[in-house]
Amino acid sequence: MLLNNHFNIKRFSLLLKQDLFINRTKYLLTILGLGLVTYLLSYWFLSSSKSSIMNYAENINNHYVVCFVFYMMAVGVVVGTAFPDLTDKIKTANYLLSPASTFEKFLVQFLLRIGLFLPIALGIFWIAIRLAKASLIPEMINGSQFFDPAVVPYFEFRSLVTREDKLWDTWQILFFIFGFFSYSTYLFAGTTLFKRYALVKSVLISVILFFSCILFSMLLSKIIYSSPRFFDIQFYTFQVTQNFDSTEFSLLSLSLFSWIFFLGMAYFKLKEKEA
Amino acid sequence: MINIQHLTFQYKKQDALFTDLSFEQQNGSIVGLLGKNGAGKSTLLKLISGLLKPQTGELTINGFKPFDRLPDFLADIYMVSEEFSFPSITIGLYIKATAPLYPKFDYEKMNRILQEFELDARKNLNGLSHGQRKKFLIAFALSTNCSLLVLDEPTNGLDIPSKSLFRKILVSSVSEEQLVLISTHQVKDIETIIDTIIVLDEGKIVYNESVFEISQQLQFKTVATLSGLEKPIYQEKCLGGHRIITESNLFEETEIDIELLFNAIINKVNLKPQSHAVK
Repeated sequence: MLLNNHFNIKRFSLLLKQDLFINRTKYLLTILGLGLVTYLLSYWFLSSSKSSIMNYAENINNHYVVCFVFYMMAVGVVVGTAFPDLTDKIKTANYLLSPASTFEKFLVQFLLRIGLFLPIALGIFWIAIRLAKASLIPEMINGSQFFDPAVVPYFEFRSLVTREDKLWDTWQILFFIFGFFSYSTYLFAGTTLFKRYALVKSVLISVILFFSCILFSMLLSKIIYSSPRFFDIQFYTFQVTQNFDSTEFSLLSLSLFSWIFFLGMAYFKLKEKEA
Repeated sequence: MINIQHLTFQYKKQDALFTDLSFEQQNGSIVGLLGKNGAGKSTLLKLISGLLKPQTGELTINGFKPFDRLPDFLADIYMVSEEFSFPSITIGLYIKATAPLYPKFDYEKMNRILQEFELDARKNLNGLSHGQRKKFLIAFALSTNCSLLVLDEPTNGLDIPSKSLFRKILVSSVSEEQLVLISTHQVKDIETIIDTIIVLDEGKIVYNESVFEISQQLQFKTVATLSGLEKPIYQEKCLGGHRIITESNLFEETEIDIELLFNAIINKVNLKPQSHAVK
């Protein structure tokens, strides 16, 4: 009975179905639009960088990383516009009164914006960027160099965490993956916190927080270690394991666990929402 | 059933709207909630439906605390707000998507009311006029068969034939297990369908009587002159004479003039049998 107050699989599937029925066109257009724009921009970016790709074979990975970062920003926009009904007072009332538990409403949005969308978005990126690369045509560059796309490697997710043919350390890969995930949950939580312009406000606050942390670290470095230059940051670091120091451990912990806090915050903000 | 005991509510940075509000209402009636602008009618409806959290006091609806917004509570209450918005989909698709969330939803009733309101299920909701969308919302609300229907200004935006159709459909659709709470300024629109009148003023329920009791206690008349009459409980000048409220004489029952009754209540006239003179 108590569980039924929070989660019921039938009710949850009805709520999910309701959202898909109402927003299916919007979701489909978003996915198609994202794929098309990614393909076009990636193609434009790669074809305008042919000479640098030819000169430095390693460069293609950097180009893929740039494309991926911009793509993830677009994905962030989708995630950061979760709970669209909460942007408007009338819609908020309708949404809060729809017959489902707060947890089910939260879960539907989490699934649609993160759980289901992120894997789909990664798949779209993989397809679009490979199509963009496949669309490059052989040609003479600057009148002397011949650009042959066949020698350019296709995109692999592996290449995002590879430098000079060497895979990053495990902690770095984990930091990268969970960093993206945690930032997504932060943007997701922001939509329950702010009524209007939640995405802009969330991004702005994260930027302010980031620079405040840097400034605070510089200040502490100046006070504690008497750093000769103000912009120096010094940490007291110790080895946690043989190849893993305390700073790396702190960064990894932050990315590994902060999503728990953000998801919890999103749930309770939704539960206490008034209209 | 609505049970409110010693409820206090205030919006942030504002004076308290309700202090020590108490009120009880059983299912099986259509209640008219009346009050001046800013009296707190919409706020009370929001508190009842779980959109606002009371600061202190007890508020239970059919045994549920509204602000917990438990799914069983939400599946048994439907609120028609004064302002509303719909997604840009057809009526048919909206019903297909949303109706399954209400376990007692009656599809036949929905089709019947849609027909009576002359609404085509293939039409896009955002292509309809405000009045048509309101009619759809009322049709949907009635079809949910929820125990508590909260209607905030339901006749706003309806044309004259639709208002009378609304009254007819409401009366024929509501069962004994349901409670319908209607908040409105347009008392004429609902005076023939409500069976209880509640007046909210200065954060308090100042009047709560059934229509039956009112008609037993009071008479509502229009007279050319006041001379020769026993002093009425309340009177207002009108075209060609006076509208008056007098004590019932047990021989004659009159139709209730809710507007006059409301004005008397707001002017703090004592409407109990031992009559008081008009101010």
